[in-house]
Amino acid sequence: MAGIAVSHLTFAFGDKPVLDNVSLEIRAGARLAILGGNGSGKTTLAHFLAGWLPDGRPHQGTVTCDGRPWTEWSLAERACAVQLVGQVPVRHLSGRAFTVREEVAFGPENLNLPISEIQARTERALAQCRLEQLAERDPFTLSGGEQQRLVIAAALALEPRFLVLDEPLTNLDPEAREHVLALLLSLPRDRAVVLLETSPDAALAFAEDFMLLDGGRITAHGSARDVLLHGCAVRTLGLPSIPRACRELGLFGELADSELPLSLDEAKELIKGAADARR
Amino acid sequence: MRSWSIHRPGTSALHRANPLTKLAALLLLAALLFVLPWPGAWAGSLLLLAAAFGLRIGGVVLRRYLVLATPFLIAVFIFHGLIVDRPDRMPLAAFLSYSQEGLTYAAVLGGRISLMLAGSLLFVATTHPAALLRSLDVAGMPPGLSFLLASPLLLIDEFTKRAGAIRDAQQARGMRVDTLSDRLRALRLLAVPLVTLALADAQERSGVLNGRAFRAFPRRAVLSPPPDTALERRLRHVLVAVSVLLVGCALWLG
Repeated sequence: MAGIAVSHLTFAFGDKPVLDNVSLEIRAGARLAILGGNGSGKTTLAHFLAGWLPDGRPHQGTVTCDGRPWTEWSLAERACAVQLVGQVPVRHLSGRAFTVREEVAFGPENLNLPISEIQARTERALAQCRLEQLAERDPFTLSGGEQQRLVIAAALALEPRFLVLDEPLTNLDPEAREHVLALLLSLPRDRAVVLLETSPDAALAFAEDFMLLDGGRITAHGSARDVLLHGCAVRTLGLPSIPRACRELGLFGELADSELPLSLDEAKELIKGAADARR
Repeated sequence: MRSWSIHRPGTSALHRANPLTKLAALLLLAALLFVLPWPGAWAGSLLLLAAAFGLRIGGVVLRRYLVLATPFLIAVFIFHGLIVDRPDRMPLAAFLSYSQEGLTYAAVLGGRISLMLAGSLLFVATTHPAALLRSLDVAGMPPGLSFLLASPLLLIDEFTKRAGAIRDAQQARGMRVDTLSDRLRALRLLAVPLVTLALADAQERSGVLNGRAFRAFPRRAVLSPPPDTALERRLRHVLVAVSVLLVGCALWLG
């Protein structure tokens, strides 16, 4: 198939199982959120999706892109196909660049692209992530949030078809979170974006398709309602803001968690419906 | 500015020269060590330090020179002049003895080290590391080699910062560092998390480098290569040829 396919993937760190028979598909243009609590296996799954296969540690199952296992892809092919943005941005800096601009240009330079193309991609990625003012700064002296935007810019400069983001919002202030979410939503529809998150609100703001990873297994898959209001998700991640506010305000007490409104519009509809019914 | 860096921007000819040309000049300096008598090496050191003052970077170069050279030169003179057993030794006290031959050898060795150190510091103070890396990329050096050069320079501050954070966290939770034995114990306790985290970082960074196609090709493009001229390229060839000639002559003449 065209896209990334994970089939019956099982992996353990020593005796500790991390992923247990995970299967999923990511097609071009997908906007997928994979939610899970700490230790649910999100980071390991993100590594497999991006072709970062663990050295010397056996795993069962396969991870393919366009029908070919990642092991058959050259470095250059893989870099153009998928990029991973990790949750600790300082670890995702190349360690080879002395300025923000050099860091963003690092990937395209490695691909030996024409200079005009490298320049265009670098400036475009800097602008997309609002890093123009910081272009000559040392990447290691940026704040955590700025570094996160830099790592995203460095990934975007490679123009990958699949962008995998492992808790990319963790270090960001509210304004920067909004900006990164808006940036992800503005990416061309031919690119697939996979967001691995602990925050149901971030997932809700971005994704169209949702999965819940719990104890290394995919325990729910479907719409926001199917996954975010799933009993297991509510237990481990809590309710998203709107249904939580409804519960705290004592609204819709007769409704089960899975029937609560997920958005303000849904809440308004329900309130209006209840008022009409009383009349 | 990074804590270790002594690079000072400037517009002098030395600042503007291509880093590879400066590296070729350093090679010539190293070759000169084979033929220069020891007073010449010391005079060369002084000349280079004076040149640094001429370029208005004398303060930073001299400070770093003294910090690096002083302990080494003192050790060389003590070891070769006063401790090593030589035929012309004249006993002073206990195991110490005075040897003219040993002191001369220390002056030769010290002069060589001093000259290379002064030259290297002048190079580092007038060459931004990024420019050096770009020029190595342009010259077609394997990307892995330039990474080996760059990563310690870039990561040393990060490593120092992390060591400070671990030490502060340990002290905040009651670890004492009052006595020498406390400090030695603290060093051991610091090393374990520091090394563990460094290994985790290295693994992650290796994934990042692969993910961004590092070493996908034997050569990489360079967005903004340092300026280079035909004259400089010819000069580099001459410098390398003279260096080889000097070393050859020195070896041939014994």
